[in-house]
Amino acid sequence: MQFSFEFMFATLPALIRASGVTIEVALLAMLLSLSVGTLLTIVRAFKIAIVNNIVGLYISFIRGTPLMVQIFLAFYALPSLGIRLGPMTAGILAISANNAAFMTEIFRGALTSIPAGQIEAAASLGLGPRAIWLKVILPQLYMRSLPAIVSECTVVVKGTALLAIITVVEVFRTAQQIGSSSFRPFETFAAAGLVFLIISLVISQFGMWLERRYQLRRGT
Amino acid sequence: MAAPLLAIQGVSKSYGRFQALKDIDLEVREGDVVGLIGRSGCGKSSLLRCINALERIDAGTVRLDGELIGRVPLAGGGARHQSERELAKLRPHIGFVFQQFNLWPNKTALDNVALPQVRVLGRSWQEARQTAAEMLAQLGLQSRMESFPGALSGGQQQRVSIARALVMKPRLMLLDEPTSALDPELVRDVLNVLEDLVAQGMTMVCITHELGFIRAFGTRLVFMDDGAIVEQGAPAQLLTEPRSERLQSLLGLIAHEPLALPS
Amino acid sequence: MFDISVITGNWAYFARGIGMTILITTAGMLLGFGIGFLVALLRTATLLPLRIAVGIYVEVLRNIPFIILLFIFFYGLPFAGIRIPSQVAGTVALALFCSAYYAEILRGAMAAVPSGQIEAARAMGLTHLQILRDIIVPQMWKFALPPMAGTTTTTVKESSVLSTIAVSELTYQGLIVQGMTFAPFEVFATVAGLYWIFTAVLTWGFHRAERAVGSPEMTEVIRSKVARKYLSLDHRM
Repeated sequence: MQFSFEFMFATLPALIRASGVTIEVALLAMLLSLSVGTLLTIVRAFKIAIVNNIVGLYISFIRGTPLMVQIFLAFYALPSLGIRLGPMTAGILAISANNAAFMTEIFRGALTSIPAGQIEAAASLGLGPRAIWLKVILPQLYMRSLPAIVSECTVVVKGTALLAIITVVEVFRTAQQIGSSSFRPFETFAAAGLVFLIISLVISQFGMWLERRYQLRRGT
Repeated sequence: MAAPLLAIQGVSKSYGRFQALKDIDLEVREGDVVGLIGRSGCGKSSLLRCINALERIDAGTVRLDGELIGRVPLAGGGARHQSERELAKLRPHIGFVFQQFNLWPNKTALDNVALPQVRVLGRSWQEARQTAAEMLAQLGLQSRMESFPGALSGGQQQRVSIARALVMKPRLMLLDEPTSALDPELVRDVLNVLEDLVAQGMTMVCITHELGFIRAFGTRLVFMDDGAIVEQGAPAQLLTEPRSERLQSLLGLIAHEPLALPS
Repeated sequence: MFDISVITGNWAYFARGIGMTILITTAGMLLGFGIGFLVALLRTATLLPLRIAVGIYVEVLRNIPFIILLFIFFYGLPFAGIRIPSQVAGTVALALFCSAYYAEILRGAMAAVPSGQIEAARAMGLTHLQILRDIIVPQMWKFALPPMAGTTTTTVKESSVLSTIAVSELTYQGLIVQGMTFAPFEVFATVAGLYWIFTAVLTWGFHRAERAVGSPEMTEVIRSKVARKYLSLDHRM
C-alpha cells in the first residue's frame, strides 16, 4: 500500500476536533498542578521534618515511576480503595499529581534564585510572612519559572495521549479509531503526530511572547 | 633586501557595524621582533588573529613567505576564504601564544606539547614525547612534565604553551599579551624565555605592555589606535620621542608602572 | 488489606517483566546515544540542508508523544515491507526517541568546552576531526552526564508505553497479572515500586560517574538567616 498524503490530511479535521479534549485536559492539569505545586512549596518552606520527608517521598515516587503506571493506579487501583473515578477525572488527577511534583521542583530552583537581599529588605520594612509570600516571593517565583513552566506544558500535552489507554477520547484514541476502521493506521498516526507538533509550536510561541512581554530574557 | 617573511596588505575587518581594522599594511622581515602596542579595543588582537586566519578578514591579503593565508582574491574581483582544512596545513608555520595559555586540561604538560606533533606532523608518540621533553627541559620545566595544567602556575603554563608552539618549528611567532594574565613574579620567567627566542633569531610579533622588553629586544615598535597603525619605528626612539599625541597619552598611562628594564 | 500472595504467587511474571524492561531500556539507551552522538556531530556540519534536516529530526521527536512515535513506527514498518518482532520495533522506537534528547545534550556539552582550547588547537593546525577526538570528546562528559541522568530515567519510564504493543515488559506483565488476579492496587503498586527501584539505582550510578568525571555540583547556600527562612526548602539546613 502506498502512503497517501491525501488520506493523512483528510483525517486532520476529526483529529483537530478531538484536540479540544486534549487541550481541556492539559489546561485543567496545568492549573491544578500549579496550585498544588505552589501550596507544596509554601508548606516545604516551613521546614517541618516529617512533612518535608513525605513531600520528598512523593516527589521521588512521581519522578521515578512511569506516568502510565500512575494513570493505571488512579483508574484501576483507586476503586479497590473505594474511590471510583471516571476515565477523564482519573486521567486529569493522575496527570495533575504527576506534574505537581515537577512544578514543586521547578519552584524550588526558582526560589533559590531570588536574591536574598529582597527578603531582608522586606523583613526590615516590617512585612510579615504572609505579605512577603504574596507580594515579594510568589510573583517573582512565577516569573522566574516561566520558561520551565512553558516546557512542562508541552510535557503535559504529550502525556494526555496516554489517556487513550483508559478510554478517554482525545487525539490519539481518535486516531486509533480512524486508523483501525480505515486500515490506514500509518497515515492517521502521522496526522496525529502533526497535530501534536502544531500544539507544541503554539505553546512555545506563546511562551516566547510571554517572555518578551515580561522581559524575562537576561539583559533586557 | 630579502622579501618580507610576513606581508600584510590593505587588511580590513569589521564585526557587524564596528570596524576593527582599517586598511592595515605591515611588513615583518625575518628576524624582526615587532612590539605591537595600543589601548584595548584598538584592534591589535584582531590583527594578530587575522594573521593566522583565526578570524576572517574582509579585505586585503596576508602572505607568509609569499603564500596567501586566509583570504584569497579571485580573478573576477571577489575573494574566497580558505577552508579550515587548507588552513590546517599553513598554520603550523605560525606559532600562536594566547594570553590565557589555552592548554588542554585533560593532557599532561608533556602530552600538550606532544599532541600537535603526532596529529599534525605525523610523528609517533614516542618520538613526539622525546622532542617535547627536550623542549620543556630547555624552558626549565623538566620537573613539571607529567603534571596537568591545573597543577601548574600561570608562568609555567605559559611556558608550556610556548614550548607547544615552538616544537612545530614555526617561521613566525605571534604572541597575544603573553604575560598579561600572570602574577608579577612570574612575568620574568616568561620574559626570559622570550629573550632566549630573540637571541635564537625567531621572528616575532608580540602584543604586550612590557615596554622594557620591547625597548631592549624589539627591532620595531608599532603603535595602533582605532583600527589603524598610527606610528611605527625603532622602539627606543618612539618610546622617548613619540610623535603622535595619542601615543604620548598612552605612554603617559603605562609609564605609571616602572619600566621593567633588564639588568 | 494488601494481599501479598498476589505478588509472591506470580513473581515469575514480574521477574520476566523487569528483566525485559532492563534489556529494552539498556539496548534502547545505547543505540539512542549512538544515534544522538551522530546527530550532534551532524549539527555542526557545513552543509546547510543537512543541518536543517537534523534540526527537524530533533524537534519532531521531542514534541510528539512517544506513544504516537511508537505507533507510527510500528504501523509504518509493514509499509516498507519490513516485519520485525514487536520487541525490536519497540526498542528501536525508544532509541529514536531518546536520540533526540541525547543529541541536544551532547550539542550543549560540546559547546561548553572552553573555546580558547579549541582556538589553540586550530592555531596549531589540528583538523576538525582531531579537535573533536582529542579535545572535545574527552572533556564533554562532565557537562553531559548530569542532563543524561534525567534523559535515561525518562527513557526507562517511557518503556512502559511498549506495553501497548504487547511487549512483555514490566507494565504489560502487570496488566496480565491484574487480569488474572483482579488486584489492581497490589499489582500496580508493585510495578511502580520496581520501576522506582530501577530508576533510583540508575540515578545513583550517574551521580557516582558525575563525581568521577568532575561535573560541577549544584549546591546553593543561602547565607542570610531571614532569607533562608523563606527561600530554602531543605529542612536539614
